Amino acid sequence: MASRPGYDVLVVGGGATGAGLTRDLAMRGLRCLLVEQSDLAHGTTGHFHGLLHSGARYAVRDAEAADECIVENRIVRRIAAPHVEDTGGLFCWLEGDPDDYPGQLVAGCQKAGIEIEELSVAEARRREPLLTPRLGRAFAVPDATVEPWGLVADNAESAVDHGASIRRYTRLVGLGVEAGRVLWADLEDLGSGERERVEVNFLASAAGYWAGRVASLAGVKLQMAPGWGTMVVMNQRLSSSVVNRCRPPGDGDILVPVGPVSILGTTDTTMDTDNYEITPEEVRFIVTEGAAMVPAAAERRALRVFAGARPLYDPGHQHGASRTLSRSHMVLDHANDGVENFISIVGGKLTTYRLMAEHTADAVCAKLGVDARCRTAEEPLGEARKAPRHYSLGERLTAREQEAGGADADLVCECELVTRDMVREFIESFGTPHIDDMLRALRLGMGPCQGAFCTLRAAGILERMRPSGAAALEPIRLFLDERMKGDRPIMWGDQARQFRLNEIIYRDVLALDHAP
Amino acid sequence: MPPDRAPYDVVVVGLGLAGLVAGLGAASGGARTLLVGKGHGTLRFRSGTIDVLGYWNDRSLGSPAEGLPAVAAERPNHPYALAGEDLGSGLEAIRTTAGAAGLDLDGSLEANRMVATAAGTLRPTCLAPPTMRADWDGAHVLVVGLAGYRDFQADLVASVLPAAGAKLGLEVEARAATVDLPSLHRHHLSGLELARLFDQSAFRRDLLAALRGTLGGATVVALPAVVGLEHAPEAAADLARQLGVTVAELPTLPPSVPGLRLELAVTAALRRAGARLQVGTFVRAIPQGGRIGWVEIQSPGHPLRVPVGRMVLASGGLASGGLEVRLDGTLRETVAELPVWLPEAAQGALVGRSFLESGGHPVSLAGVQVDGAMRPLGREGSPLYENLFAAGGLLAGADRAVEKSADGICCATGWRAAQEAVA
Ligand SMILES: Cc1cc2nc3c(=O)[nH]c(=O)nc-3n(C[C@H](O)[C@H](O)[C@H](O)COP(=O)(O)OP(=O)(O)OC[C@H]3O[C@@H](n4cnc5c(N)ncnc54)[C@H](O)[C@@H]3O)c2cc1C
Repeated sequence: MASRPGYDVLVVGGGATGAGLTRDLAMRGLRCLLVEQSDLAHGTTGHFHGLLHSGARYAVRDAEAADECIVENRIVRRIAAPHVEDTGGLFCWLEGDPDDYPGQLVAGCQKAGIEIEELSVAEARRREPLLTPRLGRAFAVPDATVEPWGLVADNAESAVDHGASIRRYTRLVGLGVEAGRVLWADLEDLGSGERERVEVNFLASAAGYWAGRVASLAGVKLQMAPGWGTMVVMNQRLSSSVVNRCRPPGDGDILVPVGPVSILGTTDTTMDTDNYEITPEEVRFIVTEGAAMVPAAAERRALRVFAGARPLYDPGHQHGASRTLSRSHMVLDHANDGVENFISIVGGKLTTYRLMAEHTADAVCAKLGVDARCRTAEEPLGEARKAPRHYSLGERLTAREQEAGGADADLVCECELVTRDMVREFIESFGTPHIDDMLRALRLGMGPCQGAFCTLRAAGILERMRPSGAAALEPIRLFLDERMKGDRPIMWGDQARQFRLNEIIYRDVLALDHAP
Repeated sequence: MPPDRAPYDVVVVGLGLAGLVAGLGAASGGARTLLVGKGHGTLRFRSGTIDVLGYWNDRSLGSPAEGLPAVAAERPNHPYALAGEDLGSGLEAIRTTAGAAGLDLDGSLEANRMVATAAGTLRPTCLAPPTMRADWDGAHVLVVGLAGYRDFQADLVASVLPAAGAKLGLEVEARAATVDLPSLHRHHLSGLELARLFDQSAFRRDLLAALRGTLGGATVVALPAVVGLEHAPEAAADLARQLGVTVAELPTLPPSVPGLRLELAVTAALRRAGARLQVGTFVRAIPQGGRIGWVEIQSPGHPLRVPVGRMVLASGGLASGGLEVRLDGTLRETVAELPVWLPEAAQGALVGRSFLESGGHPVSLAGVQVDGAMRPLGREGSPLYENLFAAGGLLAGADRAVEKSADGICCATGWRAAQEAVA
């Protein structure tokens, strides 16, 4: 039976919440081990809409959430500036939308201290030329966008700087509970398949929508109601600010500019599954709703779709649509369930990840009798001393060329500017990765050509570094199939055309269909 | 208002293989011919071989001739069922035109030959340039990658090729080498740039010097299909002679140099025959009564209207933009708004779950239905316009990627459409 020198706290889950929690605890002087079953930010954090809420979306119905959002919005802009783009947000009231909502929105925002300003239709259209002619009124709010991978990576790095350990691709698979205390945890290394038993002093679960499953390992019943939402990535930046529909929050009413693309969303389907299947109908619905605000959305190309699950907590007896469940977070002390040294954090939003971490760390410290103040709202992350930035098209290529000492970047994937060195390094540090892992980690194959070129190139580099002989085409096949999942629901327009072109390349010209 | 005198007897829309074959048919029949298209055709995406029929019902065919009767019997709306009789003439038109430019195409309908690809696979084709021919059985292959060229991964090819051979009962050995020359020392070398390098004897000399030491006992040197553009036959022959072994070109990612060679040979022949070509403009066909009255050619300023005597529509399938999927999952034909036939299986989901779904994706069979004279049919099954003929990737009833039949279909239907248009 293996054991490890004790950590003060074992944190489960490397999303924004878990990474933020580990940082917070480490800054308060606690020794932490964070385990994440996949890559950091692989869960809901990497599959969200991208919005750093101003709180305006919640101002009418959920005052508490609105208050939290605007406070955290300002803090995150300060501590994580490089990952925030100050896009601003617009609420657009269209002819036919409820007459009384604009008034309620303004009142709610003013109550929560969210700066809101009505713009003339002409001014709104000057800022966003693609807005619909049906635009009747427009309100500006301090919405922004936030890039989750960088945010989580910086939190993790800061945690490590403060003495924490982080293990990725490590899953918590078992807990030993005796006399009302968690004594040990079984961790499985998903690379090697090896299991290790570590002693547990205190367990904090930030496992997102998996929180119920983690709790059940300790025999604790925790009912989650994962609310799945689908988002559609459009191949163009359709607006420069976040565009919201000015009516009670519902499906398909937000359009978020993220780097070179725009993300339309979203939906809300309560379902306890790991494999939510996106349907073409829901995608068409989202695009049609998005086009109500920005008509060009219907003509532009959908690049891919993805879905994430809101980590919503069902305190019991509440059934039906999860949008009515609270989006505010809750810290659950499982002493109430008979396990003394175990806390879960559930619910919440990415925007409030820091606050969630603070509340959880406060609770952990209280239980451990540690008297230390939270400092995460004051201390900037990484190189966050820079000002918030605006996205510019040439940005990434310039960066790659600087890395190459000013020469042309040696690109494997032109769409997403992934270089040969990036692919090599990735393969070196990850053994024999799938090309799909490169997509997630490097964005390889994510762009408009849908992997037409980089798939063969990446497979070639992989084969050179990790020869597999006759099986060398397997990574290509797996990747093409994986892509297919995201492609099927958006088979129209240029996307369908690119799909067929890729089929001509890989099935017809390269004849993968009868390959060994 | 359209001018009343038609300057052209035949207007061909689309510059892919079907449009080119139709153009050859029309121009050689003495018709004043205009070819116009939005972009270059799919020749530039394909291998530069002429595939006729490699598989039918998932069965590999020793020759196209062996499979054609089954196609006609089993799939009445397959382009070969409708225009198969003109396949030989269409192929011959391309073969003679290419041959006149020094680009031979070897082979016949009586045999499929195997060409190796940049994925290390072996695929069947009917006509192929001699540079793609090699005796794979018993071959010791040296697969040569070129530093700086990303679209040919020699290690991958060398790993897969022996297994691909074994699947066909051929014994193939392969190893990889990457040649690094000063002239290759830049990133983003495209196939086209490489082909131009291969055209130069100085580059070939450097390459030969680098290769000699690595040859070992190789009987075949496999290179990406970029061995020359304007002087391709000469470049390949030079390399083979100096190395004393077979040099084989392996088709790879677009842009396809062998496809481009073929395109250049055919377009030059068309111009010589008096046809006019106009590339880069989107075209709409405007009906007038029971015929196509004129085509509107998009141009800066105002659209150009060209009256139409006869028209051959060869604007291609989904990949070329001749067909388009709408947001609601239905299909449209983009030039003349012709009705598009969709197989029943595609009405649930246009595509399957797996990329290489065996049997192909339902949407690939979609297209314009025609009669034996290549006249597009309306929903009721009768010809829509007396002067409109369709050919190539636009036509319903075939999954070209599955059957490995794209080029043959273009030749047969392009030729038939031209014959009808000049009749
Ligand atoms: C469709 C959609 C849109 C959204 N849009 C926004 C938005 O615009 N703005 C906003 O602020 N919020 C938004 N949210 C909410 C926000 O994304 C989430 O609240 C937030 O990302 C949750 O982060 P988390 O760290 O709590 O959970 P997660 O990111 O899911 O992290 C949990 C982690 O725990 C790991 N884990 C689970 N079980 C184990 C185990 N046994 N062992 C090891 N690791 C384990 C998982 O792999 C996962 O990485 C959206 C959510 C959805 C679904």
